[in-house]
This record gives sequence, structure tokens and C-alpha cells, in this order.
Amino acid sequence: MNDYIEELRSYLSPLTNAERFDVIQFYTEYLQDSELATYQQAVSAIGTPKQVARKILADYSIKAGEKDESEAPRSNRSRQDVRTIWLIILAIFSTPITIPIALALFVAIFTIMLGLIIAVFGIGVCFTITGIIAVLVTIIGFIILSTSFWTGIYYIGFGLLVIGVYLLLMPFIKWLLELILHSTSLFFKWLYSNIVTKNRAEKRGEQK
Amino acid sequence: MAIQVPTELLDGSVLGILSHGDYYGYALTQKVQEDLPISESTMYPVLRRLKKDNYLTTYDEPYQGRNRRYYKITTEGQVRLAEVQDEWTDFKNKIDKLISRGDLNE
Repeated sequence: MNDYIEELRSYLSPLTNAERFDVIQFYTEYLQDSELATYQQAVSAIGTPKQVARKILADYSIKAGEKDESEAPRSNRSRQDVRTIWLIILAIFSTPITIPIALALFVAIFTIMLGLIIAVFGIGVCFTITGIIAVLVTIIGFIILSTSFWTGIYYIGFGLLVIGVYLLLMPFIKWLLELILHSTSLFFKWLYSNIVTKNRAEKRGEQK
Repeated sequence: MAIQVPTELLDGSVLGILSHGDYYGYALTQKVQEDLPISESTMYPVLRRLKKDNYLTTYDEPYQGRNRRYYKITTEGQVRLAEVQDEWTDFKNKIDKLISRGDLNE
């Protein structure tokens, strides 16, 4: 039983101490009361620690996401978004009942993720290259300043201009990336509440 | 049972049980399972949600050298229970009407 609880605890690391304590307390008490003494008994009664943990984590993440929508700082929100997406994918795949649906969804999810990665990567590469070119132009400007003063000034001005625009756009790009991330997270929450929750209502009775 | 239990009704069922007295986790799960085929891992999220919405409170009581956490319905929980009961009665009547086709011509 202790092994079971310890394993469950190890899967709950994303939670705060208080939340984790609460879960552990509930399941410790549950196993004691149900007299499920061994690890195997516990698994056959309530499922593996991993399954239990995923269910809890998905639930927490969605609720926390709804609550923190406005108040959480941006950087935290991005991390929260990534976590939500990941946990929902795990939750969908860990529910045996939803595996046929999950398989069908897999292609969709994969496509979305791929598109997302390409979009983010594309924007990133574009900006990096523009930045490098701007810096190079500025340096070239300084180098030819001694031989051809006005051309040098022209290059420096052009390079600095691009760097300036680049710096101005930085927050916008960051905002855009966060927006993409957040929309994906919202999409997965929608997916979770529409597909998993509705279909999930317990089918254990049928399997018995 | 082929019909799946939606979250609202599961919440309502738990509140309904608690309106008759306080229960600890295992006993409460057993009580729900007498009638509904829910899995054990479903109860924790349900209880956590109900507690977060202030529909129930918890208190600990010593039992054989450890603590048992009891769940107690709040006044808000009672109000919520009444809401779920109304919604359910309404829903049930509509389904009854649709399922037993003979009544349609009344």
C-alpha cells in the first residue's frame, strides 16, 4: 500500500504541496478503509497510480486554467498552457474507453502540433535572420566609414533602423506566440470537456 | 448500465447522500457504487470540486490511531441539491414523455 501511495505521490509533482497532501491523504485513507493491503489489490480496485494521477492532474489543470485566466502573469500562463495541453493529451490517452476516439484524434492533434511548431519556428527563424542581417549591416557600415564616409553612415542608419523596428516588434511577436499557445490550450480544454468528459461517465459497470 | 452518469448528476447524487448525514471517503464511494457504476478514482475529483464550490466542508475525526476525513454538506450545498433535483425532475419528465410514445397523443 505504501508503494502505491509513494508512486502516486511521485506522479503528482506538478501540484502544490497542499494539493498533493490533500490527494495523498484521501487515497491513504481510502486504501486503509477499503482494506486494500497490497499494491496489486489497489491497482485492480482503483487502477494504477499513473491512471489515478492523470485523472487528478487533468482535472486540476483545467480548473486552475479557468481560474487563473485573467490574474496569472503572462509567463506563468504560457507555462500553464503548455502543461494543460500536455496533461489533456495524456488524460485522453490514459482512458481506455476513449482509445478509439483518441486514435482518430491523434492525427488531428499531431497535425495541429506540427502546424504550430512550424509556425513558431518560421517566425523565430525569420526574426533571427533579420536581426543578424541588421547587425551585420551596421558593422559593415562602421568598417567602410573610413573609406567612404557617406555610404558608411547610410549602412549604419539602415542597420540601426532595422534593429529599432526589431526591438519594437519584440513584444508583439512574444504576444503573438503566447496567443498561439493559449489558443491551442483553449482548444484542448474544449476537446477535453467535449470528448472526454461526456464519453467518460463511468463504463466500469459494463466491463464487470 | 448503458446510460452514462453526467457530472451534474454525480455531484447531485453525492450531495443527496450527504444531506442525510456525514460520510468519509470510502463509505461515500461505497454508497454511490450501490446504485451507480462509478470508478473509485472518480470520487476524489468530485469531492474536490464540491468543496471548492463551497457545497461541502470537511472535518477530521480520529479513528484507530489515524484520521478519517468526513464530508458535510453546507447550506449552499443544500441549495445546489435542490437545483439539481428540479433540473432532474424536469429532464426526467421530458424523457419519460418521449420514451413512452403512447403518451404523446394525450
